[in-house]
This record gives sequence, structure tokens and C-alpha cells, in this order.
Amino acid sequence: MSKPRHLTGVATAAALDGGPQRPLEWELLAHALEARERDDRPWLWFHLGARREALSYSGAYALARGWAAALFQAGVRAGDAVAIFQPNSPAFVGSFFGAQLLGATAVPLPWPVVPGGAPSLPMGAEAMLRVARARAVCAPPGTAAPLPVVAEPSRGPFVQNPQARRTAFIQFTSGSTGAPRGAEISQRAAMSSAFGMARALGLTADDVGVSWLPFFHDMGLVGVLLSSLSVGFAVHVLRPAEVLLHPRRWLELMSSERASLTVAPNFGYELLVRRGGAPDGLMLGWLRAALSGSEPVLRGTIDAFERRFEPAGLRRGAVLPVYGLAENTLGVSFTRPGELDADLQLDGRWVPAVGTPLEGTQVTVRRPDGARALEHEEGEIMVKGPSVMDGYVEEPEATAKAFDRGWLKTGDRGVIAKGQLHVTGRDKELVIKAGRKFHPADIEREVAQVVDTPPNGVAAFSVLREEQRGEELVVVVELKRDEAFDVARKVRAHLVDALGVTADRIELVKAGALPRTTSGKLRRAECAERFSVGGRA
Amino acid sequence: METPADLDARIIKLISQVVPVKPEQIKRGDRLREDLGMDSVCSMELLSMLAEELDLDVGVEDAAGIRTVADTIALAARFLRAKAAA
Repeated sequence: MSKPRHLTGVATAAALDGGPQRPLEWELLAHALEARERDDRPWLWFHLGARREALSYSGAYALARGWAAALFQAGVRAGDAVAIFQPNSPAFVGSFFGAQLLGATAVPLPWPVVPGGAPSLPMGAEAMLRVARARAVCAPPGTAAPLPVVAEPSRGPFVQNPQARRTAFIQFTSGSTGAPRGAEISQRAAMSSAFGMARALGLTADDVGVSWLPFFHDMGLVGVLLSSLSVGFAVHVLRPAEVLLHPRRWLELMSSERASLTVAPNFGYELLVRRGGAPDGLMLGWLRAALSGSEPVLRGTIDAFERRFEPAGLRRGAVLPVYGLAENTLGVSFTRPGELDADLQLDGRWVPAVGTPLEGTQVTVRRPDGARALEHEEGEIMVKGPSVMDGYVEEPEATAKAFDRGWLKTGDRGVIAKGQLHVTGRDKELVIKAGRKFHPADIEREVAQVVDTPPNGVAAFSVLREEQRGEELVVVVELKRDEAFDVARKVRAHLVDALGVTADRIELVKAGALPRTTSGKLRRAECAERFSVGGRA
Repeated sequence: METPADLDARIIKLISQVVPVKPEQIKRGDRLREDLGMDSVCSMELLSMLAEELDLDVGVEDAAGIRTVADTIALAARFLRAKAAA
């Protein structure tokens, strides 16, 4: 990894500027892959238990042509949308780039963590297909879908037209299950994000990545797949289930492959601290950028992780807090390797700095009245730059609300101080569990369907765990009657069934016990304070 | 020698560490997802803890058919028998 060539952003009054964007080697995803047509080096190593399978750059290009041919035969043309329902596998890469070659928009769908039986589309997939106007779905043979299923690559002619459609892919993000919200990511936004990240970290073809993040997720797709393609390094890919089941495999792979880069949400590092085993037998001295993002980055977890594996050669400062969101393709600001610690103490907790903007990107913090905040003053984080989405697909109103005079409103709260951005909270009060976002209102509505509770009698929010080592989802339910035991069980079961999320804590209280405004609306922030560790009501 | 009842109790205790349900409220017939509210990340964590505690080499594919507390216990028993036979 070479030293970053570009200076980090310069702070003015509550503004950070990533500096001018340098030219991109390729502006189309298809061209980035096509350029490596004769590059036989391994790009992706897929690890399945003890087996592993390599996909070279040239092999990926050939595979993408096969999928493009199969899609073309199924009637997909330039300008159409194609859903991708595949695990971390050559088939995902082939079908995703096959769509790119045709000039079709790829629409990655969530793949289930736990494999089992015949593949079936995930909860909410039908709405995603409808919103994205998908024409076909690339999925394993036998997948039941309301659209033509393209299950294998084939041979045959197709019309290559990669510049036909502006939108490279649609990234589904924080919408509710019934009304999924898909960020439209243009070709240029995607390539800007991939190069921006690689340049910020000084990544080169000599880097080696290890990742278990799903490719359908922005961090896996852009942060792993596209960033490695942009500069041409190799990545060892694990399935999420493998790491959840055997967290040590992640460490062992980083050790044996001399990984310099890995990426995960905070809970991944927490998993390694709790269940990654001892540092003995591991060599982690090559790891220079262990990115932590996509959910709140917690100093307690970073410190515990770095301390635990220091005897294995892990450097202090190897974990780099980063900030991004699907609406900006992925990364907004990154801590650079070797950058000084610029944490901020706020209300008795340490808020890690998430670095400075990627090149071409500007960040400001605004007050509720729209005026620019001062340094050290909290406000909403606003983003402008080459990776900002075009909008939410088929949602003109939501799109209009997401922007203010050319700036993307992130909905996240932050502070600019010490020349760096710090994320302090979320305006939308989103609950993030294992990288997935949930609206409290969705959770509350679901709970209210199965429990006899007064109006606004359910509050869902997340609170910090002890030692700032993670977040937990707390659901507080006001009860009209004393039916305690059954209710907690019912609520927990219904939430996993309806939304696929586990409530970490369910608290039952008397009717009227939740803090409300005079008009009867919930005060969630106050709930969170009251029910955080040690602050139980 | 561990009796089947001991194994039941051990696994139920593990489950109660993954989801906030008291051991005495967990029954063999409970479904991990529908009755105990475990999402997929939780159920993998349960199998991971089980593999660690009993020193078993549980694979991702083994996780596929696990739906209930009883399935989990049966999986553990099967692996323990295989280990004893080896």
C-alpha cells in the first residue's frame, strides 16, 4: 500500500473538502472489467469450508459475457433492469457484470444468511422487483420468482452497449418492507466511489483483501468488488454464514493470505473479540486498513479488538473508522492509514473520528434552520460530490426530500472538529442491526398489531451496550393488562417473522409510562436515555 | 457421561444466552425463529457457540435444517456420537 498521494481535506467553518477529483481510468463498470480481459491474475478467491475456487480477472470477463448472452436470450435489452439473486459466488460477479455489458441496470437482492432447501426470494423482494421494473432475475436453478429466471451463463450473440443506461445499479436501502427504497447509482457515481476509496487508502494491485460482506450490500459491492476491480488487487471472499459460525476463519484467512485490507461493520470486530479465540498462531502484521463502517463505529470495540490481537502483530490504528451511506454509493469520509486519532468526547462518551471526505466530495454540517453549523457544533451531515445517487427509484417525493439545494441530506447527525467528521447520531433514529437498517416506526407498528396497547404505546430504539461495545434493539411496550410473559414472547416472535429482526430487550411497562409530547407523540430519544444501560426506568 | 437431559439443559442454556428468554421458558418444541424470535444472525451465533462449547466441527450446511430447539439438540447429539465413534 503506497502512501496516499492526496492531502487530507481542509477544514473551514464546519466544512470539509476532499479536494478536486482526479480523472477516472474508466467511467463505466463494463469498461473497467473489459480492460482486464487478458489479465489472468486471480481477482476473487471464493472460500467454501476447506475448498477454495479462484476467479481471475480474465475469467470474470469471460463469465460476464456468458451471462450477458443468457440475459440477451431471455429478452433483456439495453436500458432494462435485471435482478441479481446470488450468494457471494462467481455467478454473482458474472451476472452483475453481464448486465453491465448489455447496458442494463443491475438490482442486487438480499441473499439469506442461512442456506436451506430450495432458494426462494427474500422477504420484500416482490416489491423491490416491482419498484425497479426488473425484467428478469439471475438466480440459482429452481428459484421461484414472479419473473423469468436466468440460471446459467450461455453462449451466443448479444449486443454490447454498456453506455446505454445511466444507472449502473439500484441499491436497496432503508425503506420499509412494503415500500422499499432503492438508490439509483450512476455509472460515474459507482466508479468515483470505487476509485475514491482506493485512492484515499492508497490501495494498489499489491494489496490483498479478505471480506465476508455480502455482495448485495453496498459495502460488499462497492467497498470490495468495485474497489478491487478499480486498482486490480485480489480479494479472498468468505460467506457471511461461515464467519458467523466460525469467526476465527476470518482471522486465519487474513493471517495466511497476508491481508492488508478487510472491511466490516462494528459488530464484525466485536464478534472477533468475543469469539475469535487467542492471538496465538496468527500473523496480522500486514493488515493496514481494517475498515469499520455501515453501522455506528464504537471506540470500545476498536480498542478491544486491537488490544486482543496486538500479540499477533496487529498494529494499533489498523482499524479505520469510515462513514458512508448507500445514497452516496458508499463512502463519504475515510480515516486514512496512519492518521492521528481525532476522537471527540461528547456527553461522556468517545465519538470516533471518521476521517475526511473522499476526493471530489464535500461535507458540511447544518443547523435545523439550514444555516451552516460552526466547528464543534452538532447538526445534520450534508454531502455533495461525484458519488451522490441520482435519486430513489420511482419515488420523486422521497427524492426531493433527500436533497437541499444540491446537497444530499444524510439524515445522520455529526460534528466537524479537529479537521475531521464525527458521526454522533441519526436524525431518522434508524435502528441498525448487523448492518441492516430498520425504521422504529415499522417495528412499533408491527408490535402494535399483536399486543393490546394504547396509542403510541410502543417505543423501539437502540441503545449502546456496556463499554460502548455495540448497540441493542430495545422495544418498550405499554400494557393495558397484566399479561407479561406471553407478550414478550409474542412480540419477539412477531418481529422476526414480520421484519426479520431480533429484539435484544423487551421491556413491559404500565400504560402511560412512556415519555410523550403534549400531543401524544413518543419521545424516542428520551426513551433511549431512560432505558440505556444503568438508566432503566 | 453426559445424559440426554444434561445435553438438553446445556443447549437450552446456550439459547438463553443468545436471546433474552429464561431457560425455564424454553421448550424442546419451540421454533428458533417463530417462537424464540431468533433472526438468522442469532441462529448462526447459537450454532457457533454450540460448536465451540462442545468442540464440534459444525459446517454451514449443517445449519440449514435447524428449525427448532429439538433440531439443535439432535444436531449436537449426532456430532457428539460421531466424535465418540472416531
